[in-house]
Amino acid sequence: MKQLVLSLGLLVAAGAFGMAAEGQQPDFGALLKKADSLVSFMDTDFSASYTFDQVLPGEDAVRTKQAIIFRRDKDNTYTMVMISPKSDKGVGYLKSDNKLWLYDPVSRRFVLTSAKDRFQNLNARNSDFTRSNLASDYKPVSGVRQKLGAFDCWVLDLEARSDDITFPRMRIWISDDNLVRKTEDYSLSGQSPVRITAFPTYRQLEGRFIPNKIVITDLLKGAMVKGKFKPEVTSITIDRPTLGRQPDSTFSKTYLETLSE
Amino acid sequence: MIKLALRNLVRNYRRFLFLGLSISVAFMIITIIQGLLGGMLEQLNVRGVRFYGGEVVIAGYQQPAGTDALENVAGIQAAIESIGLPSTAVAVRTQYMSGNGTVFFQGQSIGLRRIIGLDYERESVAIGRMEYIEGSVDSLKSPRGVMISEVVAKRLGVHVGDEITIRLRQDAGRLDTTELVVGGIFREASIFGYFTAYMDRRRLNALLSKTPDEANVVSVRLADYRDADQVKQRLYTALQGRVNLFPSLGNQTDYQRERSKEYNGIRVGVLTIFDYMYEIQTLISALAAIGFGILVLIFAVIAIGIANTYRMLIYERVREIGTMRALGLQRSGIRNLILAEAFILSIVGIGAGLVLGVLGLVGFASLGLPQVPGLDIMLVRGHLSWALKLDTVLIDALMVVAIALWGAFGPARTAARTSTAEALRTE
Repeated sequence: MKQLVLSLGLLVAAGAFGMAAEGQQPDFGALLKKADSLVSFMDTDFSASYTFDQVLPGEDAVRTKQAIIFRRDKDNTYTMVMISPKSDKGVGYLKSDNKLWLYDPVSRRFVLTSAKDRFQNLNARNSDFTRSNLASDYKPVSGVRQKLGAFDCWVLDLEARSDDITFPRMRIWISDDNLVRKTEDYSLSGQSPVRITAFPTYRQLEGRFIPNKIVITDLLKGAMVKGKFKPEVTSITIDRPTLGRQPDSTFSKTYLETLSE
Repeated sequence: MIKLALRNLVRNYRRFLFLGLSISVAFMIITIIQGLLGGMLEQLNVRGVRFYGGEVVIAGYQQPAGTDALENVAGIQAAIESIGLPSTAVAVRTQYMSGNGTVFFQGQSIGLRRIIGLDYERESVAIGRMEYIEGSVDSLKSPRGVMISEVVAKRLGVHVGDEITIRLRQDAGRLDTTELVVGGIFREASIFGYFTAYMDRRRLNALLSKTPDEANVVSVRLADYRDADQVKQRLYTALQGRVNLFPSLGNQTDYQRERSKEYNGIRVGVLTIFDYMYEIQTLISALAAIGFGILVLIFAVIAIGIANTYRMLIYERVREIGTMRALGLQRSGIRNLILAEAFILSIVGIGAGLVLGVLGLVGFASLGLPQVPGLDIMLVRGHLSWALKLDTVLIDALMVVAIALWGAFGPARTAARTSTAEALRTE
């Protein structure tokens, strides 16, 4: 009888402990929404200078490109203009109405491109410059606590909500300040990530957060150096961020055409 | 009459030597032109069949999804069998043709225009006939096997046994990757194979999130590629009621136009590989037209040469003709004798020309030629390909005989009309 009471007591205690642990687990969907909201600007426009440094393994050179971006998250649109190197100067991107236009200043023509394509043959994708849509694109499957460097994080395994999301599976590290610190993108059936993105530091501007640097590692592209695979890495440095309304004309084809004149 | 003509030709062979040589050289040129054009067409067909799976291709398209898709594959196969074609001639494939495939190896990558998912059991013989630099088609027995082109292998530094990653974008947009082991590296003409990979159909279906038995192309291999148009029409009729068909299609442009229209569901088109390759076909038709022009010129030269030579021969043989007439040979006999001589001469010339032509083709084929894009369609293992069809040779031979007879007919008639006394008086 004593044993039975003890067993029941242990069972109740274990259940209570389990519930307590579950109680600590946040609503992962809400966590994603919060992470989205901190880096999205739904009530204002955003502009910044982006510098892309691509390190090609096996080559000493670093390929550098610079662009200015104007984002209007409310309309899910952006305009991006290349300012260097000289050969790409004036090349523009305009995302509007779910279409991504690429403007070539030499031929003065717009062609439709895909947001899913690589940006300027770098490891970034055109879709990386839109507002953060984690909560609407992915549903959380599981989550665990993990330390990532100095950050205590929730690591969430996410699954795409629809078939048109480029990476059907994602693992994401969200620190306790609700900022995304790292993501791993997976293909549908791949066991290893195909791309890793790190957000080491953020700056705060008018209560919003803007990454200072984004480091994208493409685990499929790279080179063998001394018998070891070295992946291609692109670092994006974000400078001179501003918040404030941009003229509507900034998000138009005419704007890109005018710039090249 | 034939005996007499043969005796005349043998006894006076010097008289006929030049004319016989002319006919044989002309037929040699005809044989070489026909052999090279035949080789080009045959190679185009052989490569096209490997690329598309057969001479007649049944392909479907789904709207509004905008994807390559087929339904009722069993019904399509039944339709093929209903027109008397064997099931062993049928290839069922999943072809990924969006151009969004990429192959990765040790960080290097290259885009693939077409990934062909096939069934080893059905297609190992046809695909096995490709020129392999390393490995063989047997690698496709394994679901993890893949065959890539020599061009892709060289650019990535891949050899048989290496594991590569293939990444493709599914119809809806999401990416999928798979690791495959290279089991075959093939050499194929630029348009058919530089950026093409072959793999197991079920594995490709899994990569595309399709069910294992799905397919988007069913092709039929024919015993003679020249039957393709006729089989296409019969198959189109047999498919009615089994699948939702596009209107009858003339070429690939028609197919592209029809499938871009607004509709719901899957519609199916029937095309021949020549409909798909109509641009190349146009080029070959142009070459064939040039070849035909040359043939017409050669035939004209033969006709004029025979007419002139016989006129001279008749002039030289007028006393001989007079003697034969005096010995009782009728006018028609003289005419028939000369025509019989021309007939035998043309047959001998054709025989010699055919032998010389074949030797010439063998000589051309022994030359090693570079694998230049465009030219490589005509090459087999770096050598020029040639093919002579019996019916083509027979038609050409009949043409030469007819022209020889036509060329000899005028002089033969003149000889027949010559009066005996006048002929005998001639010095």
